[in-house]
Amino acid sequence: MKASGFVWTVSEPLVLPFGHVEVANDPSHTRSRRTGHALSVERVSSVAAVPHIGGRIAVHIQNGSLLHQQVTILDIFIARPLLEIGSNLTALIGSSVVFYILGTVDVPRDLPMFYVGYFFMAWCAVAITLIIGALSERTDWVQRIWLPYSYMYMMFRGSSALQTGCRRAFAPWRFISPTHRHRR
Amino acid sequence: MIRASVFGTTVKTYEDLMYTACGLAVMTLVGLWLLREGGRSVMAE
Repeated sequence: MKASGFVWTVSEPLVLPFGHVEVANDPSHTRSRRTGHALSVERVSSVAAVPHIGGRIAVHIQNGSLLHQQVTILDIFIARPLLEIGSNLTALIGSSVVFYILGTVDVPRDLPMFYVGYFFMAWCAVAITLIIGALSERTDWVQRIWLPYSYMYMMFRGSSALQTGCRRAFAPWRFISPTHRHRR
Repeated sequence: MIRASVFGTTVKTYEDLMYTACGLAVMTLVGLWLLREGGRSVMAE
């Protein structure tokens, strides 16, 4: 059972793309199944990684991981994000392969841009991790606020779907999203 | 960028490599500085 934590770390991001399929909307308003799956795969990277790694680090520090004198705080801040990014990459590749076999998603049209985008996403996650992790050492409030926010972020991140799917009722909520994209 | 690479011209996206890189560099430096300042107060048990 000791490996269950590691297994969950790897498998948790996998839950998102498959769950996201049901709520993902077509940005071109045609609501095609194919685009919905592509959106779900695209979103798993940013949804899972960016807010989640910061929260994990905050918990890690609060749990007292510095039990060994040879382990510095920077070691944890490097090792944990790398593990999380690895699990996120596994989920991205795994869900992409599954959806590709099902014939519902294509290979990205511009692969180099996909790699650059993923690199920036990972960099963003690490940068946020450094800030959130460092602040969580100083006060417990950072962890208490960031952890719920990291889960609420998934809802905010899906505000684009809300915008197109439930326009009138939920439209104002889209402005809360830090990643809201303005559309013409 | 990820969305643009997946959907191509199907969906309108906005990205700026330099703006993103500079913003992330600043965030990383701020994070490292906070870590350096905070690390002094953390004692290994």
